[in-house]
Amino acid sequence: MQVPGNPVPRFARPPFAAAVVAMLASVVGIANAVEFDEKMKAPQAKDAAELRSRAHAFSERAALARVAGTAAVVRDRNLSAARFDVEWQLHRSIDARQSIGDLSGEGIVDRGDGTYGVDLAAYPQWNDPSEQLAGLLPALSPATLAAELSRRGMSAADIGRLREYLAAHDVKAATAAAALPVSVSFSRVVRKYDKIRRPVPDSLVFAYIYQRERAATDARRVWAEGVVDALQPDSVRVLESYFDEMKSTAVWAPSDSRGGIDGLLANLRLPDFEQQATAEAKGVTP
Amino acid sequence: MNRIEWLSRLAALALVVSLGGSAPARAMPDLRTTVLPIYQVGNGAGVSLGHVVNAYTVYNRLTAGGTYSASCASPQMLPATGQRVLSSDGLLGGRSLTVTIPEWVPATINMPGFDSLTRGTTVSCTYNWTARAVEGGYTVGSGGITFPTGSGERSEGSTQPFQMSVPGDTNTDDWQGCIP
Repeated sequence: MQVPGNPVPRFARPPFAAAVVAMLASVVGIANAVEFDEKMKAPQAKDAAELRSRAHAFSERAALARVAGTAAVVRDRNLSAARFDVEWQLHRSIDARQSIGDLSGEGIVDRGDGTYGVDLAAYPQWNDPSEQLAGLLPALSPATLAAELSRRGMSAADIGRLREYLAAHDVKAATAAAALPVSVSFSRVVRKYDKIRRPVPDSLVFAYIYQRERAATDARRVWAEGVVDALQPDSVRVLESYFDEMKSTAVWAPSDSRGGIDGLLANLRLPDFEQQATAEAKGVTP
Repeated sequence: MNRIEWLSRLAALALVVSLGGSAPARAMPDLRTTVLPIYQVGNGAGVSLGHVVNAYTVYNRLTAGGTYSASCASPQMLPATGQRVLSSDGLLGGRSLTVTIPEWVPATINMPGFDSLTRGTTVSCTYNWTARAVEGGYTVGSGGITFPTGSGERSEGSTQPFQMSVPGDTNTDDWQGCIP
C-alpha cells in the first residue's frame, strides 16, 4: 500500500492548526505530512489460511533481511511496512475473535484465553529493531546505559554521539507529529458524515487507525534510522549485542473495538478537537 | 465561560497531566516486556536488574505496569521487590506507555542479607517479573498497583535465574581481602 508523497488537503484547514502542524513537522523533520485518505483501506486477510501464508512469507523475508544486520533492517522502509501490514492483519483477526489458525510455527502461540504469546528472542521476525531502539533507548538510564555500552566495547565518541542524538531527537514528538495530520484530517471526515446524518462506518475508522499507526510507525523507524546513522557500524553491533542479551516477550490480546471506536469518535467530534489535538502533539515537543 | 469552553479547558488540562506519563507509540496494540540482563555487580551485594513494559492501544486510554521480586535460595537473604504503574489518555488516539520497573533501569539493587553469607558461598537466585496492561476506562489506586477491570487486558510474567557468589578465602586477588 502506498503512502501519497504529496497529499492534497481535502478541506480547508484553519490557520492555527495548519501553522502548528507545519511547525511540528519542521521541528521533528517530518518530510511528508500524510493526511487521511478515504480511498486507502486497511488490509484484511480473508481467512486463517491467507493469514498464515502472509505470516510465513513475511517470516522468510525478515530472516533474509536480518542477515544484512540491524542497521540494514532499520533502513528498510519496505520491510517495516510489510511487518506493519502483517501484524495489523493478525491483530484485526484477534480483535474480531476470528481464528488465526495454528501459527506456532511462526512463533505465535495460542495461550488458550483468546490471547497469543510471542517469544521475541526465538522468533525475531516479530521484534522490529526500530521499535526496540525507539522503545528502549529513551527509557534506559543514560549513565547506566553508557556504562553498559562502554563495557561491551562502544567507543567514548560514539557513546557521546548517542547521548547527543537522544537529547536532540524526541521520538514521542516525532510520533505525535506524524499522527496529528492524519487525525485532524479524519476528524473533518467525521464531521462531514455527521453533517449528512450518516453513521461513520467502522471500516472507515479502521482505515483511519491503520493510516495513523502506519505514519507513526514510519516516524519511529526514521528516528531509529537516525540512531544507526549517528553511530559507527561497530557501535551498532554493540547495541545489537546488548539488546540480544535481553529477553523480550510479547502478548497480543483482543481489544474492545466497539468501546474503543465509540470513545475515539467522541473525541474526534469535540468542537475544538483540532486545537486540542494540536496542543497535545505540541505538548510532547521538547 | 460557557459549558463547552469550560469542558474544553478541563479536557486540555487532563491532557497536560496525562501526557506526563505517555511514551512513544508502538506499531501495534500489544504488551511487550523486555527483561534486562540480570547479574551480580562485581563481588558485592548489588544486582543489576529491571524490566521494561511497553504497552500500546490504538484507542485513547491505557494503564500499564508491573512488579518484580528478586530472591535467593538462602535463609539469610530477603527478597528485594518493587512495582510501578502508569496511565495515559488523550485525544490523539494510539496511547502507549513505557514503564520501567524499577523507575530507573538498569538498576543496581542491594540484596538484603547477602553480606551475612559465608565466604565461598554461591546461591541460586531468581528474578520474578510481571507485566500488565489494561486499555479503556480505569482508575489508579494510591495503595500500590491497582488495575481496573478494563477491556483488552493483557498480562504475562516469568522467572529469570541468576547466581550470586561470595569469593572464597583461596582467591589470590588482593582485593578480595576487602570483602568481609
